[in-house]
Amino acid sequence: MMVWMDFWRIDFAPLLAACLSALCCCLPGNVLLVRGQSMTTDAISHIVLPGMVAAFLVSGRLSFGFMLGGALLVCLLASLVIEWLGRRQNRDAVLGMVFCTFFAFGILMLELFVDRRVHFDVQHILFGSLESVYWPGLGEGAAPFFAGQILGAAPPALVNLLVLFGFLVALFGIAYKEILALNFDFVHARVHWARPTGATLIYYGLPVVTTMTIVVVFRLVGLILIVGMFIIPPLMASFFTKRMSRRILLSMGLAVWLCCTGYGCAVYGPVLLGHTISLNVGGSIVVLGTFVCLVLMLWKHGIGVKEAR
Amino acid sequence: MSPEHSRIGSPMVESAQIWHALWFGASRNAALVSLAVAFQALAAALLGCHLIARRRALLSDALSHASLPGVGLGFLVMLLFSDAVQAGRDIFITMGAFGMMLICLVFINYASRHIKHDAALALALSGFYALGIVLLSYIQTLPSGAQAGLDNFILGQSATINLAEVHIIIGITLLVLVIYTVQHRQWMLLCFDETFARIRGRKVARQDFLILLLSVMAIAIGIRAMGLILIVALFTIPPLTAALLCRRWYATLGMAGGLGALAAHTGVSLSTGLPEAPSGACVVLVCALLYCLALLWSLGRRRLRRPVS
Repeated sequence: MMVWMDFWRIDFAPLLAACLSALCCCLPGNVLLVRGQSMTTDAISHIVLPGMVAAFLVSGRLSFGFMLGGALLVCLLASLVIEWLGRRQNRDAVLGMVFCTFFAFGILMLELFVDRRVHFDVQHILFGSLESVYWPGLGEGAAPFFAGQILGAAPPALVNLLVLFGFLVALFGIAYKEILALNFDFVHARVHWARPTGATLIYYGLPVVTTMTIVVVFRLVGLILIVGMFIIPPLMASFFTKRMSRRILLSMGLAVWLCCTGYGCAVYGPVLLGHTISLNVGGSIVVLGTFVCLVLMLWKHGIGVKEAR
Repeated sequence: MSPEHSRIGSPMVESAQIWHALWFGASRNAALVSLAVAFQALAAALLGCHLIARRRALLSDALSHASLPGVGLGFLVMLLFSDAVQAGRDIFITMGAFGMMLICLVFINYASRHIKHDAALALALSGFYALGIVLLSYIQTLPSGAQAGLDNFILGQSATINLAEVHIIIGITLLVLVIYTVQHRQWMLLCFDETFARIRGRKVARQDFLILLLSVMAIAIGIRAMGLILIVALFTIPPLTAALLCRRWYATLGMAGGLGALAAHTGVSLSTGLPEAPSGACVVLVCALLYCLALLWSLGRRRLRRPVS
């Protein structure tokens, strides 16, 4: 009974945050994987940092709206620069140059101008802070889970995640056909709709949605682990099915499974081995996912040499 | 919400110290560190030219992220042998980073046979980085006190480099440059006419692997000063800058090496005057500044229209 209470008090909120983060990430992640833009998530997650730091410095608090605005502005600026330079020089190299520069700028602003006592520092950005999500009142006393004052005390990070998840599900529910058409046959989609604006809107909407997801998730998971959250569940699902609809559903299920197992490994694994420590949660989720992907690859293709698809 | 209020500090800038460091007048150790980092940046820029010409710029990004678990593993292996010997620590960590990047290279090579190349890169990047974060979160709980400053490998901190590390950096850079001098004609052929190289009976895969091996060595010695997230800037920005300024291949190589060394020295000197700033970020910003100047110059000469590399 004591263990159960501890679970509600300590582990439930981080686990829920991890699951919701992974669910939010794997919806755009499926599209990115199919389009062959997996490394774009890495680039965007580096690029948005100066925008968010600047928004924090201007507004003076960690408000979601300001940060999203800053991130989107910086993202727009960077994509314009990449488009303009990428036509003239090697595109991959330009991408690497731009995201390094923006990230360095953000890190420098963060280290020089933001006080270390604020909950917005390099440690959180690099390592994530899933463990620090705390739901006050949950699991203490006899009040049921759905009691009003406990639901009202839910941490803001969880509320943001829930809103984002609702938005993404609604977006994919409404525009599923269009997204599908655009991913597999852009020209057809543009011709079919006769008015290219809608198609273009959805086509360029993907980076916007990705940026939004990153802004909500990055302080929980860490800026670089987000790449794994985006790519790994869709990649795992792609080993089992080729249909997009099944792939999305399967990847959502796998994301939740991955988070639960990874969280268990990080928190209860060392305890079972006799240590009293716990490992980094976001890291262990991504490590587990990579390992599962490797096993799936070995299971499906063996070690043999085969031409790339 | 009290800790989330803005506390904006003003940065400490010691401009006199920057000026001294720029002319190697600060201290003997600082001058040696600056020279060693500049030397390493020269090798990285040379290799970066080849990586970009072979369309491999993002591979170096994935590889550099993959050195984080190597840092952790090297540290753990060091603990088996001796406790808290600063000079020995960095040899172990460099070796660990080198080995882990080789494993990552094998992983990417295997994975990109079966899944899309960019998905393989993203998977390797996030998976290995996550493993590193899990290892670091374990290392932080160890009773030994030697793990202080292990975070410096992520963003780079040149101020704490000691003489033993300077010797390692210069030695390995010399090795890289010697192999480079022996092989440079073959690699030029590889970059400009791969088909011809194949017809002439060159072992293209083997030469490619050699370039990547040397890049991995350059990354392993560079992460101490540059940080493993930002070191990819040394492989992309100076070559792109040189490509704006020069037309001939060897002129580009020389210009890239010189600019890389100049930027590294300037950035390291800057970071001595900004005690809170990571030196990697300073170097990247100096590189980006040089790129902007070159861009303006080439726009004036209208040379940007021609496709580069």
